[in-house]
Amino acid sequence: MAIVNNNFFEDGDIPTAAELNQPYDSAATQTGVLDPANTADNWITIAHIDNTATGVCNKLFDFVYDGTAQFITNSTSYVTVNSTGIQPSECILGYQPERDEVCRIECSGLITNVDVENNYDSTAVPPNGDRNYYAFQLLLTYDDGAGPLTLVIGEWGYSFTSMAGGTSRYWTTNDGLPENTGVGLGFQTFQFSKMLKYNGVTGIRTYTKVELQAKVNYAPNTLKVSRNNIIAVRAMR
Amino acid sequence: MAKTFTDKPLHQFDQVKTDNITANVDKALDELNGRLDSNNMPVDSVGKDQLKLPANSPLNVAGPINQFGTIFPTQAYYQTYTNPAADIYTPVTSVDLDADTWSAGFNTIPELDSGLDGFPLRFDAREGMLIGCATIDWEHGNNVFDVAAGARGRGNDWWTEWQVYVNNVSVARTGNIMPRRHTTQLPFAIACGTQPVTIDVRCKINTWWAAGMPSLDVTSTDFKIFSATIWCRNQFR
Repeated sequence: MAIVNNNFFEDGDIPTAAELNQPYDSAATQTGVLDPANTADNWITIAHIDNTATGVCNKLFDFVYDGTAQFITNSTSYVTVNSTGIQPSECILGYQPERDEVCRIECSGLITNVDVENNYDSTAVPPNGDRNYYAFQLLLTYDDGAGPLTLVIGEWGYSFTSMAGGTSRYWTTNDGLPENTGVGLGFQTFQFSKMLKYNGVTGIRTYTKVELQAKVNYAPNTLKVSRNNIIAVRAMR
Repeated sequence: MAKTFTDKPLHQFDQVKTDNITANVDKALDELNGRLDSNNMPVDSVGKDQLKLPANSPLNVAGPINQFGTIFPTQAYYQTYTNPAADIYTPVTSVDLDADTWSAGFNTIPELDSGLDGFPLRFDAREGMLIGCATIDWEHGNNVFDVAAGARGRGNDWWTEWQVYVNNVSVARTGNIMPRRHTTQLPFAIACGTQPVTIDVRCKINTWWAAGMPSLDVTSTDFKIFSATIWCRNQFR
């Protein structure tokens, strides 16, 4: 508590030089360690907030690919989207979160002309229309001091066609033949967002990066992704 | 405004009263001891470390719903979400549109699945703005079936709409989304007072009913939800 004390003199007292100097010496010392006890309420205005690139209340990180090159995959396990082939869809973070901090991550992009096998929807046996699905995930890479680890922030899915997925899907035959598949859905956007909260001790964990990954549920289907971006907002204060 | 002037000026050759010395110094020190305000402090002097650390704001929801919050000096973040199943192709809830209870109007997620009763995001907001986003991974896929003239089951009357409600006021809507599995994102922003806030998402399901098709006892595929998330930033400074 940076409170500066004064000496109290009454009439007739003979102050010494040291006594006279004391409050000024004390003020010189305490003004170097001012704290909330010294300030009035609500003294901070917008002009007092440090306006530098390091951020005070929030800090923004992003990955943006706005070209037309396509990332093409038939993988049934997650692979990192890489539309250009040389720059994977990774948003570099590189900071240590404080306890109870949150990181808000948003991602969006464009699916282009998907290639869809056109008869699996009518398959009479499981997984039937489940093959119709593809999915994305946002994967966080972090380090607690013992090497990189990963955490799935979230997973989200889409369908290649308008047909319903699921093994309980109803279908009938047309004169004994399977009906055709649904309408192929190309050139649609994908988008999702989620927050991540850090509950650990400040200074232990380092968030390294967030990457966008994709997979299909049935290898004969081809997923194509062109422009995509990842935005991460670190909320600090 | 923390300005002060000499209370009892001392002049050359004056006789100095000791209590005047006390009074003059006290006046200056009183300002230093708790009355410093915007006019005394340099601009750009407040950084992250001058503001209070974030504080956890638990929302106390158990079961399949996860919720958390963090309160910062300038803002607060809250999130409610259902994680997807271990397999992203498996829904966390399915609604049999032919047999289960659902409304032709807007349905909340708890109305579709009572196990998700705690999903709406509830917190005490401070006067400012609510800026947030709902992300729902859902499916209302089409199916095909045999009618006399061939396959049917696709049409303009087979759609789904999602809306976000803040205290029962619609603040964002998607419009009609045609049959598919889709991860839908609904960003929203609305002013708020210092008040309790409830945010939820609701969907309107329009499905084609093959009335007059005696050979069919079911006409719709299940309406499915794979995951749902609402996050909200309450910005108050």
